[in-house]
Amino acid sequence: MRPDRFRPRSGAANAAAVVAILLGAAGVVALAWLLIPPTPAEPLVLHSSAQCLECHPGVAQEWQDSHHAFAFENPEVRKLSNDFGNQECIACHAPRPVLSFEPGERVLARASDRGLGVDCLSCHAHPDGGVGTSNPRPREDAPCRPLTVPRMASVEHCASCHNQHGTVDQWRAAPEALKGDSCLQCHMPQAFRAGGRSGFDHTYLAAHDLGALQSAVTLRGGWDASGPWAELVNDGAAHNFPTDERSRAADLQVRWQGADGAWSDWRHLYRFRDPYRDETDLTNTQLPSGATHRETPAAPEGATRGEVRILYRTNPFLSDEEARELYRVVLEP
Amino acid sequence: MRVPRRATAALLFTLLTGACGRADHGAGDVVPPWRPVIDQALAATAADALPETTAEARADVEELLDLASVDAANRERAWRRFEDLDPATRTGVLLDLVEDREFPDELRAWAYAALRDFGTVAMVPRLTLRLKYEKNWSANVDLALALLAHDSGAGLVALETILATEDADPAVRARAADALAALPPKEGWTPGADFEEDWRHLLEVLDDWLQDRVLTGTEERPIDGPLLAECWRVLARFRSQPLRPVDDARRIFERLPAPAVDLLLEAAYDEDRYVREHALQTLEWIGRPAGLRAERAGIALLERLQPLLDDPFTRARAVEALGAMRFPGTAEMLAPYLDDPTYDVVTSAADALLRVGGPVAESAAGDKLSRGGLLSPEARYSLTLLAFSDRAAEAPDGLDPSEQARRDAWAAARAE
Repeated sequence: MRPDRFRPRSGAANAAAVVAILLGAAGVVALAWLLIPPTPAEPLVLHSSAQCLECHPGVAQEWQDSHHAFAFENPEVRKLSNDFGNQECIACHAPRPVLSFEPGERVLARASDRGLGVDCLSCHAHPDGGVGTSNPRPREDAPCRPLTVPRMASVEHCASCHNQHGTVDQWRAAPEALKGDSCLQCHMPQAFRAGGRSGFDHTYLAAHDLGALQSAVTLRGGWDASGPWAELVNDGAAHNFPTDERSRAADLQVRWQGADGAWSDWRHLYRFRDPYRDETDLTNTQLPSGATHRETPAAPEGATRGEVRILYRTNPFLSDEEARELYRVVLEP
Repeated sequence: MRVPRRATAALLFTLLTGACGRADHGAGDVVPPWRPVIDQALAATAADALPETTAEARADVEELLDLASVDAANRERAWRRFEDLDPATRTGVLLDLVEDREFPDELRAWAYAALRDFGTVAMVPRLTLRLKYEKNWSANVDLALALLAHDSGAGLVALETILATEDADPAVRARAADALAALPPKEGWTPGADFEEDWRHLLEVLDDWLQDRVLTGTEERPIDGPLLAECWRVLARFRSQPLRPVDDARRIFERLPAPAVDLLLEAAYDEDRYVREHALQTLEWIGRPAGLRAERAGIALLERLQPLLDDPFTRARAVEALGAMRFPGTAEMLAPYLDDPTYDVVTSAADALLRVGGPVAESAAGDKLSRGGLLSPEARYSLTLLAFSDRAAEAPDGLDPSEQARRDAWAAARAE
């Protein structure tokens, strides 16, 4: 008689054995998954932003179109900095990685790859060798070794450069209702990229974007019993308008239409600008966040109506034709 | 889960970077002996610094300037009363007035004239900065004269510019021509006898000044007393987070007489890393005149800066400063940094060697290029200029034209 152990099992016993084997195998797999780290891609030794392009083409394209990419080669900057003969300007136009400095601390210039301007590594290179990201759950197996750095979403991260001309201090003093959480809210909104990916927009919508400029201010005007009037209201920018010193200017202008229908030339009413340090004869006329500037231009005799407009210049020497008209308002009695 | 994965990544990175090797710089990455240089200096010199301006003192000086502006007789009267004021007090008040944007232009011109005639040596740093901001050319003549009286040639460029600008106000040009009489004497030169001779002498003195930061025919005087106190006050601006005060301080120190270099070398050890960074940067911007000062003063520059090369934060700036100062022995010291693990330090080393030149630098450049490896466009171009100085170097992809021009200028300056 064959021992019991050699007796064929019943169907139920066989099923239980199969389940046990499967469970055991699953356990081994789970244990392995828990104990053995995923094989990371070979870590990159980061030295140049060119290394970022392969994995992040969408972001790279946005950056390529931005003024951060253009920061070192921008002819306007070249002109105003005496072709970087004023070497102090280089620090923010080709900076060392911001994360190498304490939050909000001023950055210093790098010697390499200056043509890339404010590049990926300027904002993301982490002193540990990987990259910083505000993403709370970065991919741990990515070769660039991303690490969550909460300050990357804070104003302090931008302040290292953008407070040199006072913009972040202006933001701190802005009305709470306009401030939002950080610079990112207005300047790096959500972008949707190919492949269903999304993230912060790296084109940095600001002084070179008409929509961003128009969202900063409102121009109002009218002609009541006391005469024509115009008001510029900073009701959208959580910093002065225009912010930055020297390089930005906004001009309020007026023109009049006579009884014959002919329009006069545009006439200057007011300039909003913070003068550069050696323009000692000028004072700061930027429009603070939440503030309103009112003008009451006198209409010339015979004028039947007028127009006011606000022109934005990325540098104060641009002609009217080169400036961007943000708004125009009709003044009618 | 996070810990083991990160640990694994860190281990891999360590192994990888370790495998890349590290240049043997002798001392390795040790923490250099930083100390509160600025604070100690400010405390030690506080008694010599210009006094704070009181409202009463300011009112007195304003009254005298107002008097001087009436007519010649009243000017004499005002000037006699200036002589009775405490020299440090009147210098401090006058400096405050010329720096005050709200102060009337007409009286500011008289304040410059008073500084010219009554200012003490303590005014030199702040007056040097006025050369940047003062747009009144006549005032610039007084500025140049005031600085000349205290062994500074920083204002000579202003005199040269005024005299070379043919459509400038003739009265101002005449004042600038008269001011040349204050240039250091020279055998066979009679001031005012022949303008061509005066002009030639100006250019010679200016050339000497730009090369050495020493006025022709004068002795290098150590910076001490009230001037020292004011210099440390300026250096304290290197701690500023807003760039403007830093920029002003760098500009002043670029134009001070050569012994100011010694203070920058001291400040390079301050506990504040921005002070160290900007002290080194200013030495770089001064360049060869700083190296010459070290040679004349017997300063062992290489040993002096070695600890700064050992610090990862200041290494690149120290390398650049050494390259610009072109001190003997620099190439041997800097060549190993072409193999530094930090991309930016390699660029700084390549640039520094280009500025220093010589057989050691050329050989190091050739070796590095033949070994290949990672180089920024800037580094590659500098090394190519050095290693193949006999032929035109092609700009690598990604090299900004202005960065190319900067390196071409360095190579040309060395050749001279």
